[in-house]
Amino acid sequence: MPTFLVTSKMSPALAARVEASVLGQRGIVRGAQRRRFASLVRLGTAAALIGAVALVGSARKQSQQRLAATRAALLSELHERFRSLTPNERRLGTRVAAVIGRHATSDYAGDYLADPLKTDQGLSEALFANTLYIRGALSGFANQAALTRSASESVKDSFLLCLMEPPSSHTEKALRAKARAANAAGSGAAGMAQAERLFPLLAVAPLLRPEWERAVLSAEGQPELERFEAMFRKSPSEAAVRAAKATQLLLVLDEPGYGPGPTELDGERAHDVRVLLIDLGSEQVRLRIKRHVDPSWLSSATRAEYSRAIDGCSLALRVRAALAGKAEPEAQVASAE
Amino acid sequence: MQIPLDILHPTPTRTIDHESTRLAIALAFAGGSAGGIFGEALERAAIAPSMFNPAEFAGELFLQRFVAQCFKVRLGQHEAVLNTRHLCRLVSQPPAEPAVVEFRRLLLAELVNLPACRRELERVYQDLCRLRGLLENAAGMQVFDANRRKLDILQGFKAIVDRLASGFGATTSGLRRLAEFGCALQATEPYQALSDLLRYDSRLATVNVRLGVGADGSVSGFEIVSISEDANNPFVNSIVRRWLAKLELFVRGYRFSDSDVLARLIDSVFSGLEDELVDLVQLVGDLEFYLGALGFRDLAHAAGLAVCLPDFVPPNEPRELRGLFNPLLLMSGVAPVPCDLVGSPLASTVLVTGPNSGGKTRLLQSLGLAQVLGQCGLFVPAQQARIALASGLVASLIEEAKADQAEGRLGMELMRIRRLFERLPPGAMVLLDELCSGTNPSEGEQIFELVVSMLNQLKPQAFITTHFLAFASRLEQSRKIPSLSFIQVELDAQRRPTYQFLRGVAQTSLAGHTAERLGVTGDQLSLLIEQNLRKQQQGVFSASN
Repeated sequence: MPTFLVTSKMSPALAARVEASVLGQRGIVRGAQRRRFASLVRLGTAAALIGAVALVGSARKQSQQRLAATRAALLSELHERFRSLTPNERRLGTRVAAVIGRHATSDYAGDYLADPLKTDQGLSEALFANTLYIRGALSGFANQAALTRSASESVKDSFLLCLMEPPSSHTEKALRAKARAANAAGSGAAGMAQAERLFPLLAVAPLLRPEWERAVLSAEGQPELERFEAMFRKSPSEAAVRAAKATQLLLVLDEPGYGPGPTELDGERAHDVRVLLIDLGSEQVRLRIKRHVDPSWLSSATRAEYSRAIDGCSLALRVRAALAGKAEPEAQVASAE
Repeated sequence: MQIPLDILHPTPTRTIDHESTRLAIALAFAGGSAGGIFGEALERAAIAPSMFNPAEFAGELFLQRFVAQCFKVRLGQHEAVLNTRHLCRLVSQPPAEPAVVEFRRLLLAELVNLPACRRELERVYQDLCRLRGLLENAAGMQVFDANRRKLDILQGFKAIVDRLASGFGATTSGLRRLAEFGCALQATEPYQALSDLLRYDSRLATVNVRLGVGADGSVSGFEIVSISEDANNPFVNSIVRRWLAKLELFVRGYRFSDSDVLARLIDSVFSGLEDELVDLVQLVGDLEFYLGALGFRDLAHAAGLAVCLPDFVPPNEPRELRGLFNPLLLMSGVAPVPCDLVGSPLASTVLVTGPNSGGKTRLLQSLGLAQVLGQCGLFVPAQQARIALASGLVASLIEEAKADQAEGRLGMELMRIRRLFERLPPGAMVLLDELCSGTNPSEGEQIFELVVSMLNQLKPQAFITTHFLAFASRLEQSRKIPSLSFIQVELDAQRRPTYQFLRGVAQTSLAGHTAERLGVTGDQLSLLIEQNLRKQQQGVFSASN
C-alpha cells in the first residue's frame, strides 16, 4: 500500500522499507498493537464525526429545503392575493393617511359641495361608488399610530347605513330601527356593501411593501418564517384588496363635545360632526359639511342605549338632505309618534 | 548475507549470533535501553577451534587478571573499558589452526609498523565505543528527543564506515578488510539513503540572508534573499504531501507530528543497515583483542621491557626466549628481571632447581603466558622468542590446602599427578611446580622419577621445579632419562638469586638464607618466645583476647 512518505526520488528498496516502517511490518517496532488500536479508535471517531456532520448537514439541508418551500409558498400566496392591485392601489393606504392628516385639523374651512353632487345622478353615483369609510374623534388622527387605532375602532355604523339606505322618516322609532339594524348587521349590511373600512388597508400596508418581502426572504429559521406566515394569515387581506379599489374617502370627524348636556352611557353627547367626501384620484374634497348632533331629544329609554347610533343615522339624513338641496328634517320626538 | 567483517580469522567468520544480536540492536535503537548487547553478544561469540583447555592453566597463570590489567586501550585521556571476559576466552583458547595465528601476527605486525594505522584503528574503536554508548544508553540518561538520539546513532555509524573506507586502504594484512568493508558499504543503497537522510536532517533548506550592520557594529536588520530546498534529496517532500503524510500517520495510529514522520524515515534507513551494525559489534571484540595487545606492549615498553611476536620453530629445533619477563610482576608494581632461556627442543623436560624465592615459579608462569600469548598470535613477554607450537598446556603451580580435601598432602600430590596424566595430550607444554614435595624425599624421589620417565613418552615440553637437589644431580649425572635437561637459579657473590638461569643443578636451596630473611632463625625465634612470656606476665594476651 503506498504511503505519502514515499517520494518518486526514492529507490525502490528504500521506498519498500519506508512502507514497511509505516505499516508496522517490522517486528521490532514496539507498540504496534497499541497503535493498531489507536488507529481503529481514530478511524471510528473520524467515521462517527463524519456521520454526525453528514447527519447534521442532511438535517440542515432538509430544514433549509422546508424553509425555502414555506417561504416560496408564502410569497406565492402573497403575490396571488394582491396580484390584482396596481402599484397605485398598493400605495393607497399611505395616500389616505396623508389626506386624513390634512383634513383632521381644528380649522374648518366651511361647508362645501362639489357641483357634480348637486344633481341626483351625481349624488347617486357618489353614494354608490366604492368608498373608504372611517369615523373617529378629531383628536384621533393626530399621527399614524392614532390613525391606525381610530381605523381599527371605526366600523360600518348607523351613519353609513342611513346614508346609503335612509329610513323612511326621521322619527325616533325609525331611526332606532336603523340603528338597531346597523348594530346587528355590522359590516354585512346589504346597503353598506360598496363601502369598506380603512383599517384593512392600513393593516396590510406593511405586507405590500418590498421590505416585508425581503424580510421573508432573509428569514433564517422556521420560527421566524412562521411568524411572517401568521402575520399574513391574520391580515384582513381580502377586505384590504376591496378597500384598495375605493375611489373616494368618506371621513367623519367628531369634534369634541361641548355645552352643559349630559354624556350618555355610550359616550354620546352634544357635539359637532364634520363629514367629508374626498375623491381619492384627485384628492379633491367633494363634500364638506359640519353639523351639530345632540341626543337630548331622544326618550330616556332609547337614549341610554342608542343615542350615538341614532345621532349617526340622524346626521346621515341631514347630510343627504343637504346634498339634495332640501330642508334638513327636524327630529320628531317620541311623543309625536 | 554479505561477507562478515572479521579480522581475527583468515577466512571471514561470523562469530557472534547474528539474529539475536540484530534483534537486540533493533530493540536498542527503537527503545534506547539494551542492557549491554555488545557485551552479551561477544561473551557468547564463537571462538576458533582450540586444543587448549583453559581449565588446565588459566587459573594457574592468573590469565584473567593478566588480561584485565595488561590489555589496555587508551582513548585520549581516558582508558576504555574492555570486555575482559571475551578477551579471556580468546586468549585462553589459542587457535589450533596455524594460519589463524599467522593472520593475527601479520595484522599486529602491521599495526606496529604503521603507527598512523594504529591511531586510525583507535579512532575507529573510539567511534565504536561512542556508538555503543548511544545504542545501549549505558549511562541511563533520559532520552528527551528519541529522533535526535537515533540520528546521532546513524551519524556515528556513518562516521565509522567512512573512517573504515578511508583509513586502511594502504594496508596489506587483515586490516585491509576494514577498507573493503567500508568501501563496499559506501556503494550500497542503504548507505546512500543514510547519507541522504542525514543531509535531509541537517540541510533541508538553504536560506540566503543579507545582514545589515549598524555603525556600532550591531546587526541592524536582515533580509531573506532566497530560500531553496534540497530538491534532489529523496526524503524532501512537497508541503502538501508532508501534511498528508502526517494525516496518514495519524490515521494509522501514530501522532500527528513531524517527529513521527521523521521517525518512520529514520526507521526505514536503519532497517537497511542492521546487518552492518551487527558486524560492528563483532568488530568491537576484534579491535579490543588487537588494541589490548598493543596496550600490553605499551605497558612493557613503559617499564623498560620489550615484547615481541615470536617465531615458531619446528618441534625438533631448539627453543629460545631472550628477555623473558613475568608480566604478572609488572602488574604488581614489581620490576621484573628479564632472563634468557636457550632451551632444548620440544619433547624435552627441563628440571628447574634453585633456592626458595629464586624465581622458579615466576619462570614457569612466564613460560606459560608466553606460550599462550604466542599461540594466540599476540606479543609474548620477551624481547626475542623462538617457540614451538604446543598441542596444549597443563599447569600445576598452586596447590592450596582445602578444608574438604579427601587426602593428606601426599595423597593430594598423587591425585595431582594422576590428573596430569589424565588430561595431558602429546606434545603439550607442562608446567609443574615442586613435584612430590609433600612426602619424604626418598619416597618422593621415586615417584618423581616415575613421573618424569612416563612424561617423556608424551613428548611434552615440560618445565618442572624441584627441591630434590641430590636426586636431580644423580639424574643429571646418570642421564638415565633421555631428553632431560637441567637449569638452576643463578646466585651472585653474596649467594643471592639473580633471577637468571644457568645450565645445571643447584647445590643448595638456601633455606637458611630464606629463613633468616623471613626471621626464622634460632635467635629470632627465642626472642619472640621471650616477648610472649613477658606479655603473658603483663596480662596482655588475656586483655587482647
